[in-house]
Amino acid sequence: MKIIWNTLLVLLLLSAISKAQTLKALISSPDMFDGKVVIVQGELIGDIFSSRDGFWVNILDSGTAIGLWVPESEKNKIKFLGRYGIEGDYVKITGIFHKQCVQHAGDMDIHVSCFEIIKRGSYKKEQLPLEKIIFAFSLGIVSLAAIGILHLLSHKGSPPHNQ
Amino acid sequence: MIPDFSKDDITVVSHYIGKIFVALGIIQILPIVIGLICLEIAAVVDFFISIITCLSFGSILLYFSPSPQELNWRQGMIIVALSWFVAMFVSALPLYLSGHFECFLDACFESMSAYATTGLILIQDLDHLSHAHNIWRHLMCFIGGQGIILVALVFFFRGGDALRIYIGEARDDKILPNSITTAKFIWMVSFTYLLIGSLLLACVLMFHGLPFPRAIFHGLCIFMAGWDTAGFAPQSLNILYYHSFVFELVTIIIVLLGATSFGVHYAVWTGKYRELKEDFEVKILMFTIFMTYLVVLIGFSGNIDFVDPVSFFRYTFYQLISGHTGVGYSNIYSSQLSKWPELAIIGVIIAMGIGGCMNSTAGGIKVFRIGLFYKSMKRDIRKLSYPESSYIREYFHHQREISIDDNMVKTAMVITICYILLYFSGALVGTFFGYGFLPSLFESVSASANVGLSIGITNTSMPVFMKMWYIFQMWAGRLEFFAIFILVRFLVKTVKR
Repeated sequence: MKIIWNTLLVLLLLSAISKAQTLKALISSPDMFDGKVVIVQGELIGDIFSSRDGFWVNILDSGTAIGLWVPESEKNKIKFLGRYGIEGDYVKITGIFHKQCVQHAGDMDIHVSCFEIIKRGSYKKEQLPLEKIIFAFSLGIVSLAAIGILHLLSHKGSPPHNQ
Repeated sequence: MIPDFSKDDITVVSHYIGKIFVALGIIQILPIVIGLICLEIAAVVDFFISIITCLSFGSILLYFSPSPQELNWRQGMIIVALSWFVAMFVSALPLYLSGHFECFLDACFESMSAYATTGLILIQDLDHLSHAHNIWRHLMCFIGGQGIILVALVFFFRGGDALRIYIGEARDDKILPNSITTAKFIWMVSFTYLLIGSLLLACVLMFHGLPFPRAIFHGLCIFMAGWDTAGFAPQSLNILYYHSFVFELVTIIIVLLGATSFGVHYAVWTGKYRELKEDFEVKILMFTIFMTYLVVLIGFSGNIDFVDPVSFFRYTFYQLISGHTGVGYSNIYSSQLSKWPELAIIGVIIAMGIGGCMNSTAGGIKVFRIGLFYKSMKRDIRKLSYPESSYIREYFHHQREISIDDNMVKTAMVITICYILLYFSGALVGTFFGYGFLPSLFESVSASANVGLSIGITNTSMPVFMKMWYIFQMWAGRLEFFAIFILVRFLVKTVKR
């Protein structure tokens, strides 16, 4: 009986751990997750910052981002970092969340232990709505014509209110 | 009898606003160049639309209000106040077209925040914004920090006119004999520091493994917003993004330089290094930093929730310096800041409210005025302890020995009272919409003193009226009220007519 209860308890704990947390939840309630193993998913963004025996990369999930401290060995897994025109690698990471990391002078971070690419990032084709181009083109022509006419008028005589 | 506003005033104001439109159009060529280099064609189209709009409006205004007679003081003030409003609208256009804002009001909020060097943001998905738009956000900070008028001053204004609008933009130091040479000096200092500061920041980032183009892009953005005490950053994590203590230290040096008066910069540039030690404003700045940090420390006493003293200092001092200089850079999340003890929050509010030096890029009441009240009080106390017939004078050293007079104190007092009213008005608005009084006061002081630190209130979902009120606070706080009072009078008189 005791074995069954223990097995159930372990299964319950595992299911709790394996459920991915949102970054918003981690940041708004850091005390709840401090020092615990968390699973988060999101897009890797920006740049990689090298440091001793590891590197920093930031992960973005629903408008909230946090720094990941990743072992050097995982670096080669990353191919795309999100920025304009690029969709970064979408990853699922498991690691220990620190409200204030002792190793990193008090940074709020996640020390990654497991790093899994869920969806490889890609270059995004730039969205250029046709209406915007037509509008810009028409605006350019009308404005240039108007400026030209005003320029000619100002050379021919005084502006209207002085006449 | 005070002369009323005439048709001439409208013509003169329209003429100079036309010039501001043209100047803003020309400046946007820079983000177009960045867009072309980075092959961001959609961004180029956005800026093309904006440039054309600026040039068209500018040309129309210049045509219908041709070269006027010399400016008078009130026209200068109206031009300044209106220019900032016009700049907010036209500069918001490319931002809005980027698709990163929920509505045009949010884009206006962002552009006013940049020009007023506040740093509160409403942009969505900043991490995927184009380089061209991002440079534009930071360039607006750089222009706003020096003063929008200061840009136009160098190119478009005559000597006599220049002084009248120079002062309207909350600057009263004539470092050099005339306003145009002063403006040129300010730009020279700013560009020199821009070069050195951006390279220094880029070097730190390259040390962390960033390739040169990325490092210089971040260096440029962070310098432009740091030197001008704006606090924008190219990524949503702000300074947290960089995970570097050294990077944070460099930004502290940059923001302290930005919050120092251009008069002191001039003295140092001309070899008068003693000014750094003797200038009354610098001394007061150091004193108020110390005192407000003391308040923060007392606030944390018995409640220190930090892993070690280094991280405690790193986070508390950074927020304090960031608030005091008005930069608004942050190396913690706003949710973390909101959990600070109340007294520590009050310490940061006081620091933000005081602000940096006069004639710097910082906002707030300014340490100069705080020092002036102290000197004036000292003089009054001395007066009481001497015979009635004695004449007591009090001096302070600010590039030269200056004797305090009652007019100087009166003007400082009026502006200080206006700031305090502005701070509390925003707090009341926030409280009315259901936010706590202390967070509302924090956010209001942050907006009015052009700081940009946020305790979590500023976001896209906040009430529209609050967004509009914060825009007004940023604008009024940056221009130090008088130009706006005159503009309001002008508009009322024009409407009545």
